[in-house]
Amino acid sequence: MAETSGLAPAGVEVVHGREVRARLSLRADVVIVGSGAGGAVVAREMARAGHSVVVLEEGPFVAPGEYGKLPPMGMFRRCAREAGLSAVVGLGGSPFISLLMGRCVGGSSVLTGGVCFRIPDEVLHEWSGRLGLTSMTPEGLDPHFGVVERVAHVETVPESMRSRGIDRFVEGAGKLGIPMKSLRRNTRGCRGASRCNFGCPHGAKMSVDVSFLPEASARGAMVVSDALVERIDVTSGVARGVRGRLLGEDGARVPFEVRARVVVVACGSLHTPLLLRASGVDSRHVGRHLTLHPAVRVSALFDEVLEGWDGAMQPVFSDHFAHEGVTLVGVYPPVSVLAAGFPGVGRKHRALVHRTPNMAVFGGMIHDEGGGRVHRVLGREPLVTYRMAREDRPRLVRLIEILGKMAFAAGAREVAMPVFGIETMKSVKEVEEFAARPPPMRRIECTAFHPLGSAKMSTDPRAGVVRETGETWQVDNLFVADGSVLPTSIGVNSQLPIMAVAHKIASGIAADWERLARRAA
Amino acid sequence: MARFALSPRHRTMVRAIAGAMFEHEGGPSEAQLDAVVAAYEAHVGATSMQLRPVLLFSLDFMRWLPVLLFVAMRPFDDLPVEGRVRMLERMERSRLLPLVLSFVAYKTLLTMIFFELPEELRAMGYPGLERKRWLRQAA
Repeated sequence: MAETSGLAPAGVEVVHGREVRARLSLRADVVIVGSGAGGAVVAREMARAGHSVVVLEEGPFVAPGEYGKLPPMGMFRRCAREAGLSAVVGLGGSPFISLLMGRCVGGSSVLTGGVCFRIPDEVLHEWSGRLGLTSMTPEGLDPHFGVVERVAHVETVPESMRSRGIDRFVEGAGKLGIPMKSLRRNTRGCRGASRCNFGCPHGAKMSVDVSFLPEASARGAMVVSDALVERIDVTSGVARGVRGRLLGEDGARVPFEVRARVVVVACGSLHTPLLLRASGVDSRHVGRHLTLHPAVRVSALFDEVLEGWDGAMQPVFSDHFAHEGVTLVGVYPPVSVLAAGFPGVGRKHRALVHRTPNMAVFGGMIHDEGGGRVHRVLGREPLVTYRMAREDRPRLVRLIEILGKMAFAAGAREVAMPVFGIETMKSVKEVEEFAARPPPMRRIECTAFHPLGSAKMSTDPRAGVVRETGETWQVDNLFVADGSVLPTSIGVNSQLPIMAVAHKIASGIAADWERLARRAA
Repeated sequence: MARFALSPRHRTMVRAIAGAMFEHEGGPSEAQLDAVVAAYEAHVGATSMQLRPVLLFSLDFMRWLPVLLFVAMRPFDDLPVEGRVRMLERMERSRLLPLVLSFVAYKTLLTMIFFELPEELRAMGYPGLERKRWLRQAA
């Protein structure tokens, strides 16, 4: 576990798959599918252990220096799956949820707000106790969190980086007896541009493409972009490599294959199940148990100019309502995204948009019970459905009620609520009426950023897809190291937990290498 | 693979929606509508072959909505701007999920595109990526 830095990361050397014209055949000790928070951490660890590594990323490589040159929608087009238009179909009256996922070198870590939490102790106690995952304890994961926090440069957001909009919400929360705490984020030299989840324009967010992958690359790991893995090769119950196509910009589809002793799948909770199924892993749990952390935000209009964009995008949070399954998180999205959430059309909408400098925003998410499922359909994108659990529905209403009350306690004149087709609210009384007679769930405007659990870890092959080591129950030398292995939702942002669990899985692979290599021989 | 291009029908429809969605005194300008249509085309071109037909079908659905709802006997893009604004407002308030979802999808997408136009960002008082707070902190 000792970490000596050694190599100074400069950047990631990438083989641009879109430029390759001849069939590509590679050999490596470890092939990793996906370059996000899971895959990048595994790549660094395996490279540090002296193994040859190939990382395959379906999306393109966008150099971090380009992030600031692209407007938010440009970043979506280049770096987000479905250009940022992915959505989850709500079943049984559940909300329709937009879902943001990365599809580029660095994966979703490029598009996160950078918020870093450890997995709450009570969640780990459930995993190690009720679920029997005995190594998934606060003590068991502590060294792994320690490493990833250091490499990703996790730091506390100073109070001075809270925008005036956030200050107002914190004041409102204080009046209601809701304590706020400073968040930790993976940043170095944040200038408060408030557009972290569209790529940091100042290179201050330590997404894995600027933290973990450069060291992996410097230690010899090969990163291939535009590489769509279609199948894992399995012979005699042992994973032997992967195959797929390189996606040329001109529509060319050049086949490739990578032979490897160990295959690590880390393409996220929506695409990992698809790849496992396509490769013959047919556990009934593949693609099930998906949790999302449905999230909402409110925008509040104040008399004074706040310039809410001037500060760290996500500086504070409150776990005051954690026992109710609710986490409050300060947020300020780019103004164009904010404008999309204001009610009305034409002049009425424009009047609100032009008061954006007077707007403050606050959000939150619920610790959901699951109910999501990933379905394979024609094409390479899944159909994702979500039947919100009965106990989660009042949680979502409660979250909106708390946010609305905080806004008015802070002195807001009007509050735009996350409900389709309603006017802005102008008093606490209206918020209370909303909570007393909530609209149908389908009318609530939800987003999600943390899909988890679709290839979950278990102590029994009848209860999950992978062992505690991350290795699948069905195929030897095939590991999963992304959010899909987390057995329940965690109630906090998932980037750091995914990194820590991936680090644990990678450490296990390195420690068990001789046995794994013998098996692959 | 040829670059994705909107059909003239879809191009007209996106323009008609944007013209109503962002209607105000003296705007939006023809140049702004051109920019919105071009950015929409680029955006839809970046989606999968599964999502793209859904987005385009929604456009056709919205095109014939005035007829389907007995509001007018002509397509959306033939309505005057006031009629299009009323139609969009009706969709926003509707209890019918397909109407609300089509509205929200297009409002979200086109609003994010429109309010990224430099003149619109300036008009709302947004200073670009220039920030002051971190400088105070650094000092």
